[in-house]
Amino acid sequence: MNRRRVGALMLALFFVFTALSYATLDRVKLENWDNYLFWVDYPRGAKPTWLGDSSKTVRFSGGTEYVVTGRAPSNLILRGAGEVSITIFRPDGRIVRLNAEINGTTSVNSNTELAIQAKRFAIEELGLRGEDFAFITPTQALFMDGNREPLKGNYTVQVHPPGVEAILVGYTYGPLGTDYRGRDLWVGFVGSTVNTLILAFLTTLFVVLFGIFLGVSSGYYETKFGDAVSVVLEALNSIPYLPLAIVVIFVLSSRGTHGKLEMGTVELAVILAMLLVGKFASAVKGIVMHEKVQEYIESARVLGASDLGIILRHIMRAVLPYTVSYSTLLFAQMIAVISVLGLFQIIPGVNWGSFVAEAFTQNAIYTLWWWPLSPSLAIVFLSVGLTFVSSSPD
Amino acid sequence: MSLLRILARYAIVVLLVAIVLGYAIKGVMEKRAYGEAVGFFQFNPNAGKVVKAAEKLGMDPIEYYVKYIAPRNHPELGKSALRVGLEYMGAVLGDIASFSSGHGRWSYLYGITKPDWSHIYRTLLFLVLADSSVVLLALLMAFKAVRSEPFYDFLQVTARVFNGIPVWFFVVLFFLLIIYSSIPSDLATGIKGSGTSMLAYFIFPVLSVLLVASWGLAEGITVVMREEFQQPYVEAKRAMGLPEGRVKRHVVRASIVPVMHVWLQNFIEIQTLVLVVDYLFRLNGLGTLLASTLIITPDSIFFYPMTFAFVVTVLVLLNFIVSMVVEVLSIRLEPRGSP
Repeated sequence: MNRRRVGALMLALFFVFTALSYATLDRVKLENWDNYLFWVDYPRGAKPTWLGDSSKTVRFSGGTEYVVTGRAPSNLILRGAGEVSITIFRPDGRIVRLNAEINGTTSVNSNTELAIQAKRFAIEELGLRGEDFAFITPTQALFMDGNREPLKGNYTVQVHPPGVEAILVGYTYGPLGTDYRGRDLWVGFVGSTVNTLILAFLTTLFVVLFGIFLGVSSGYYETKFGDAVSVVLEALNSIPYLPLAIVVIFVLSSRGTHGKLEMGTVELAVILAMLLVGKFASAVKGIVMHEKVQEYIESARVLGASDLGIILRHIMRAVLPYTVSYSTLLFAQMIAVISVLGLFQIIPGVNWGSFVAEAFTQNAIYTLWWWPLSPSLAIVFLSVGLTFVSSSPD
Repeated sequence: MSLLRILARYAIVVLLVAIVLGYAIKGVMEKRAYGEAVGFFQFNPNAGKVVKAAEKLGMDPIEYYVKYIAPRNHPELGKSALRVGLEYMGAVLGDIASFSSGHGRWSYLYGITKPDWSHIYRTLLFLVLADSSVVLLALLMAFKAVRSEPFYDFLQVTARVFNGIPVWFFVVLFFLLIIYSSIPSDLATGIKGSGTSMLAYFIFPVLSVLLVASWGLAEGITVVMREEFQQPYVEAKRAMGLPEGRVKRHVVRASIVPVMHVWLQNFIEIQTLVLVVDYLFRLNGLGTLLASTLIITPDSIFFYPMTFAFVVTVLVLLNFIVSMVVEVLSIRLEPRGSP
């Protein structure tokens, strides 16, 4: 199999994986990614399920069997409306009964009624003290012994009525676990992947459009206008793009919800393209200048072809193949650029850069290594795929 | 002519930066003026007069205050964005030139981290270490790629792959390596010490930049040298019976000027990598400063334009000086005479 086929296969796999993941993603979670209150009931710093911690997260309706071998589950989330009763059959023979009226999403830890009943059980039946709850959650207390240690064994947890959706939250959660705010990292990863890809695609598109226009106009017309465009393009390449992008996006964006910057994806792509077009436009200009002095162009001109006709019929024939080949590399480069800008929190919404930046700000790199590694591996996979696709046929 | 072109290029850069910077400074001052207006109408004995004057013009008193009274305390509000930007960039240049940290005048525009020469020193040190490593490795790879076709092919693929990999990828890998190995974890927790004792903190940052930036530069140098080898004068010299070593020396000499221009572009690109790595490894240089210019909290967004002005002015000045030196050297080193 040649490189281009391997690249195409890699890209196809990546895009199918991303599309499937996005299609099956819980949109409510994605919409609330920056709303920290939404995640208050989720476990903090949970491992991914594939890391095989004994304390799993289980989603159920009606009832479930739950085995505690190491740590006690941290929370029991409930979704539904009306009167709800929870019954837990413990391995020591004790039975815990909790009742409350719920409306929407709540949990044993955050619902005052349920939390008080859980604490009462722990204090009256297990002999725990009120101050112990500074270190354990009310849900954890339901799965502990009198020494504040997890009571190992088989539990049966029943939630009535069966229409209420329940999640017994352990210390593993989903394919990528959770961060220290309780956010589902899988949601962040898939959301950031899609956002990064869309923005990179649009930016690439605008870079190509602006680059062709600027490159052709400055290369074909050796007038003051052409010179001016050339100097502007050189100016854009004369300083690192990062500081300029930060201030331009800040100045042109507005303040959105949860204290984030807000700007339309298309507007953002246009701004980035204007800042990053220099190199591509200069390359197009080089091709145009090389092409326009060829004899066949001179012949066309003598035969009465207009400038626009020459550009569209002849010059673009040289520019387009280069553009098509270069755009795959440009796409990969734009992904890298966007992730770098995201690292400085300048790109609105979640993206690979902001996703990794959060891992650094929460010091999660010391414990949740899979978090920053997941977008890193994705970006390498994508970059290798794009490189192979853009390579010349073997 | 080429020196004039560089001047024109950087004049455009300065104007562009000044406009955006001036706009940002005016925005921050306007926000401050709105805050001051609330205090003015609560406590100032002249507030009643101002309210009456605003009513006469059919304006909201707060808007009236920001438009007519606030410019007395903040003259920048009455000036154009370009003028404000240029004035503040000039002030930063004055601070840099006089080695002073005279930013008391605009303290609320500087934020928590006060920029000073130590930030410039650390970034310049990092830049010199990173760029010299990149150039050295790139030259070694380029010389090999000129001789070996399979290596050139490999270089092209790697240059393209690394073109799409952000530098933070290697930072993440090195962080994990430091944390989960016996390497002192101190190296990932920010720069400490001064002088030669802080050099150890640059090892992984330099490696991060090196792994991203050297491939592209190596490919660029290889392209230039391969083109030079295909020139008719090389064939002519070989036909004259000149030893291959001397032919190569001629080719290397003829390649110096285009290679310098390839390097200049790479040098500018490396600065973005240096800023990012500086921020992530907490090297307390311009990258850390740049990250501190925009602070986003769940409640508010704070932008410190003078810190930004400091970073961008240093970068513009640095690139201007380096571009001029490269151009002057190009004119002097061009074996075929002045371009």
